[in-house]
Amino acid sequence: MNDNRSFERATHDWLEDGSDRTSAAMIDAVLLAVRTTPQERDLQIPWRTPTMPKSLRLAAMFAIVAVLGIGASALLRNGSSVGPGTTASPTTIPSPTTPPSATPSTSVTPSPNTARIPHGPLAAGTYTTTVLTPPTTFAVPAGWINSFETTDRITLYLADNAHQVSIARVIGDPLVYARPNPDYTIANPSATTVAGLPGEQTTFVLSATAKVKSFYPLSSLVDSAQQGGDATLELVQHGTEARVIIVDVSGTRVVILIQRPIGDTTDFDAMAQALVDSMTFN
Amino acid sequence: MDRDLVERARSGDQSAFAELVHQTSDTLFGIARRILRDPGLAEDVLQNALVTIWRKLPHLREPERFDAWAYRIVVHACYADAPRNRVWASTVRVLPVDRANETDDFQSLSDRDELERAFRVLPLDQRAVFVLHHHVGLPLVAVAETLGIPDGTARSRLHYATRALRTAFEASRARDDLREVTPA
Repeated sequence: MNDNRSFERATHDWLEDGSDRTSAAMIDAVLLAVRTTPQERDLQIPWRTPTMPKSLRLAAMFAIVAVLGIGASALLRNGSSVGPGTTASPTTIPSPTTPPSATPSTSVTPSPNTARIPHGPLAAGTYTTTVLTPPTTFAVPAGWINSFETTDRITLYLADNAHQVSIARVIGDPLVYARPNPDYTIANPSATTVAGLPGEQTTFVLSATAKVKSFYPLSSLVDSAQQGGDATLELVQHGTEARVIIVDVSGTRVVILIQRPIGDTTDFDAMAQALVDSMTFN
Repeated sequence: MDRDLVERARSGDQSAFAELVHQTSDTLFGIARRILRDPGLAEDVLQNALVTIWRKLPHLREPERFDAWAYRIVVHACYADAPRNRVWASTVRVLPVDRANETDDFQSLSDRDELERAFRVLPLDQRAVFVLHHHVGLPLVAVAETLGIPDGTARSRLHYATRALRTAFEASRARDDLREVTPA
């Protein structure tokens, strides 16, 4: 009996050893992946083998042919009536200089400095991060969507999901990681300021053929670099051009990542810059 | 699990799913980590499993059974990913020097190492039953239902796993007893 108890205790101690805390980077990565992963639709249409009698099958075929015939003649009648007096109904063609916008049915109202910034479409206003450190305040017009705020990252994006701004606290230097990596093209280095703090900015493009250890976002860069093995970390997404601003906030390296499709002609850059210009670190 | 949250995530609400992930990820990670005995691999597996859960959520008929359904996806993700990672990461545990001579600590460490070694040679399906029963606390019938196996199969897998661990434990104790009676 005593042996039994010892065995149970030893097994319990061994089995319960260690931490079950998942990393914020992993959760962040899952939520990023979910944004671009469609759910499988549950149509539940029963697939049945047709067991119609021959006579009914003939009748059904006749009915289909009749419907097709009526449809075709209706189309022909419509086609003959199209003349110079007919005007096509106007269709809205988006201007190439209009960035995609979120069209939320409901958007949340800002609640600066009090609660976590809600997920989903944000109403125009000023928000302050309560989970991400350093606490960061920024202002947005309507149209931005908050993906999720973690201790080391917040990502805001537009409805098309291809335009986004991330604010991340990183351990490693993205430039040190990416510069020797042939998968990345880094260009246009220049000095900039964010919230009055000096910073540096560059553009990043990730080769479309890069072998990517995907799902690891910019945050927790040093940890991720170790996990990445021989694969390249996906600091920016394939097919996007990213402007990376690195700024030192009281000893914490903060990276602002502005991503848009390569060759984008919208005025997203101006929108993103307005967001960056509104930032303050508390 | 909050039924409403599951319903909303099932209908495509990403923020509801985010909340669901925050509520369940530690438990699911605990299951994967214990089955695979490798936290890094467990995190990779869980990452894929959570995306699978999101994809397949519309197929979940009964939202109140979300937990069991998620356990099953995680266990199957462990089965799927483990064979590609046959080389297990070794776990090195450092015992503080000033406590290294204490018999209890030494015995405990020795027990754990033996249990660990024995567990790692068990087939994954036996490990899964053991973890769901002893760590998650599911009754055997629920374990069988979660994994989609007959009750008898769950019982025999648990029996084999327990027997292997007990053998390892007894061997560890026998070695320690021998060490105590052997003059230095």
